[in-house]
Amino acid sequence: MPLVEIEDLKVSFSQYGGQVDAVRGVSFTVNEGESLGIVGESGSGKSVSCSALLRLLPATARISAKAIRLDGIDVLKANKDDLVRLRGRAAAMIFQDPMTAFDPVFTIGHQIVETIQAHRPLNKRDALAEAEQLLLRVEIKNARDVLGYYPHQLSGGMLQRAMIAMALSCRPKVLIADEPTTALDVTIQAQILQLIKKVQAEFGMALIMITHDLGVIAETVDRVLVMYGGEVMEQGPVQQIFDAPQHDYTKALLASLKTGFDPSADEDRTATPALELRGLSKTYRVGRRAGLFTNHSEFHAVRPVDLVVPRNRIVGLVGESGSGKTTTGMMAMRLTEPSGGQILVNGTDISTMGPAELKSFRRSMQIVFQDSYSALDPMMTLSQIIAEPLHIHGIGTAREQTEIALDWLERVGLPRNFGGRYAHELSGGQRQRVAIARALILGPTVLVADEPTSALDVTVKAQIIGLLKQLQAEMGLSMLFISHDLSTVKSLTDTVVVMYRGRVVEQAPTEAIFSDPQHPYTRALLDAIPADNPAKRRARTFLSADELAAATPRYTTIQTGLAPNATPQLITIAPDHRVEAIVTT
Amino acid sequence: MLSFILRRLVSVAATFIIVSLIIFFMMHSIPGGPFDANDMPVSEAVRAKLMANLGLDQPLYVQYFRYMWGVLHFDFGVPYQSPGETVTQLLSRAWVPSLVLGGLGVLIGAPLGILLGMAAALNRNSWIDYLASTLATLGLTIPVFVTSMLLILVFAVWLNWLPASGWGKPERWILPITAYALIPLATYARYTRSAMLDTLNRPFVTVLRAKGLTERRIVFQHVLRNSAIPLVTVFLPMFIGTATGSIFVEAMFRVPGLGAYFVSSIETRDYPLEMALMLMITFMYCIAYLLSDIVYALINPRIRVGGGQ
Repeated sequence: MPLVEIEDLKVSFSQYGGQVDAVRGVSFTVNEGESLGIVGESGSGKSVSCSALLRLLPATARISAKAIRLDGIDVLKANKDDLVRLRGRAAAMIFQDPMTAFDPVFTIGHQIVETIQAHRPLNKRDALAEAEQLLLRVEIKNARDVLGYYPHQLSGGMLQRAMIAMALSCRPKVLIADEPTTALDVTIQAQILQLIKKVQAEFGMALIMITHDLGVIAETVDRVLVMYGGEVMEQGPVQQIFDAPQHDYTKALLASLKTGFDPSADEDRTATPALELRGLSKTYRVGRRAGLFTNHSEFHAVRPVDLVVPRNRIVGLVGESGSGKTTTGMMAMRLTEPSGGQILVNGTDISTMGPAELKSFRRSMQIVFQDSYSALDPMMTLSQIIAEPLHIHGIGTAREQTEIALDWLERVGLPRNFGGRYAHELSGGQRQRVAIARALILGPTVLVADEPTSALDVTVKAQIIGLLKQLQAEMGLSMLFISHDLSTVKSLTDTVVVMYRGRVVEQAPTEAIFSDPQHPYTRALLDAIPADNPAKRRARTFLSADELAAATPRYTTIQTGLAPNATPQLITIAPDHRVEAIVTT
Repeated sequence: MLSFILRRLVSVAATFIIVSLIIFFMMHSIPGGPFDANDMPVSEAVRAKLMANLGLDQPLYVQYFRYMWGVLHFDFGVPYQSPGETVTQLLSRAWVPSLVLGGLGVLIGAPLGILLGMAAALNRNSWIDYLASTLATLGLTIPVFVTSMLLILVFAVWLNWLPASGWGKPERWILPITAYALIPLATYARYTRSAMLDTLNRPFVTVLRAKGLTERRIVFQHVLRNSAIPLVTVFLPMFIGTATGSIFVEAMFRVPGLGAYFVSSIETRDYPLEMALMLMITFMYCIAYLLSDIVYALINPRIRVGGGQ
């Protein structure tokens, strides 16, 4: 008998307008020790199906099925005691955003211990000892300290490890991972996926991996279920799905994995760069209390950065969270005040401009943010949102402004009659299109795009990237595209700048970054990109921060013509290719 | 934590001094004085004598420092409207009924409000939720003198169950306490309901369910603890607002409390009493907010335990 058995599952939610079908007749099974991937975009019903398995759906959900069985228990008929047995013991679950998955007012230790005690008759001391063992199993070295930490004291990657430890605490027969790495940096994602595979083997569990990302599937599972619109499109062994996809949706998903280089049209090297940052830096004063007084120390969010976005080109700024890439982008727009350095837009230094002068200059520089939901005013219609920049800069009459805004709606691929709608009526991809229209309506020369696609599904992401690329060519835009993921910038950018801990560590034409990465951190970023085919699955080794620093490339004075220096500095090793390195004799 | 408290105490002292200055000079800038001709028909010479005796002929800043010097020694002067006792004696006499009735009102109303809010949040869109919302809206919108009047009308006049007014026997307390309790009850029902719903919608609650915890443990340990964080900041200031007496409630039920003196001290230019009342309120609010902040920090690890690794 299979461990998980779902037959003809239907789930619908009652909303104001009536019933919305989320899952329409889904069937699948999972055997003991087997790993199943469920792939689909948001709204495809993949999470809802698995939540139904543990009866975690809200009261507004109507569930029906010929059978839902988990570890021999009929889920739909489960009583209170059965539910306790189902949840945590038969199946344990890990979730997308580890930052919000722990109760903020209790320590990690407390939360693992309460899970253990909910299922097993252990006293508190034994449960704590067990929790420590579990944290060690998920490769948290300072396990004893971590037990006493509150969630806000740990990074996302550490929290997701702790989450996995908590899920393991009752030796579940199946581990359900619902987008476990979507909120994490690529390098952390690779580590967490490897860890999940490791503990699955060690504990002999079955695994259900829910994701929108085929790369994650290629890395982790044996069998795949492709979902779309609440239905199963196809299912089969992972290799077969990748090599011989049957369904058009699967083919589209696979196509989004394989992207080639696509540089912009020829560059005019004599023209003034659209955006140039010279020694731009940001330092925060950090207060640490000592008695009645406060000791201030300095935190260098961004060390002096030089960066050039040539006219008509797209530059990718890549790094993990906390690397300073977003701060750099915000400073380039003068939305965060720099601590030092210059910002040149079309050759004019804007770093010392006053508010009035800066306002008129803002017509030539615009930004698109990651979270399209909070970037659009919920009280304004889409045409008002898009037309607002025209209004601010006093361009045209109200009627003309609306007309231009509606034209822009069409230009970003939305129908004109969307003008009267509100942001909450749109999908994430549609909202991001509106944000792009708003940024481009003034005809800027420079666009900063701060992770505009990282909250989107793969297929939608590809569409938005395509839209940006197309508009860039049409308008002669110069773009700084900020991302944590090298694979996102591959087809879009001409040059990539890699930031690490507030410094630029490598910068090169996009092809050179992929074919000839020099800095160990760039290599780590490339290595972390999930495989595009299960055949290319491999074990990875991850370097610690110290190991990365020790692996800093070394060049001799003869190679560089520079004086020896123990402090790493950016040196030019090939045309347009600079890397942070130590110069030795 | 200790340094946090010390810092806050310094700022409490500063607030206290600034407020005392503002009140003192505002009080004296209102035209008229305690012995104006229409209130007290005395001759010019007698008035001058009276003013001199009370030190009111001195420049304002001298009066201020004299008064504040007294305050430092817990001497708040003698009320003009009741010269037979000191301000301290008057306050300690009149505050008892206000503290008992208002204090009990909050101590009864707040827990009931919390329970009601919890019941509403846990049974969303049920009759109890609608009842809580209705009660909360009524309690917050109907002025307290209207509810007082209704209480008297129903329980004293029509049903004749309880005495309508006065102070002394505990059965006389019931109606004014009820009138007082309605405000914290309504406020807390509302706050608790929204705080709990807010917490129940957070992702970690789903995680707790997926771990196999019982609904009871989830609600009483996790949801309540998280919801309490915004609630504690409301409690003490509300307690002080109510426990210093409401002019309306005390007038309605004829309670010889503090409330009436707020009005009469201003009306009769009873400077020592007015000043003492204002300083007392200021001081209590300062302390209430200080304590609230400390409790807030204690139950919220994000404040208590600083930054990350």
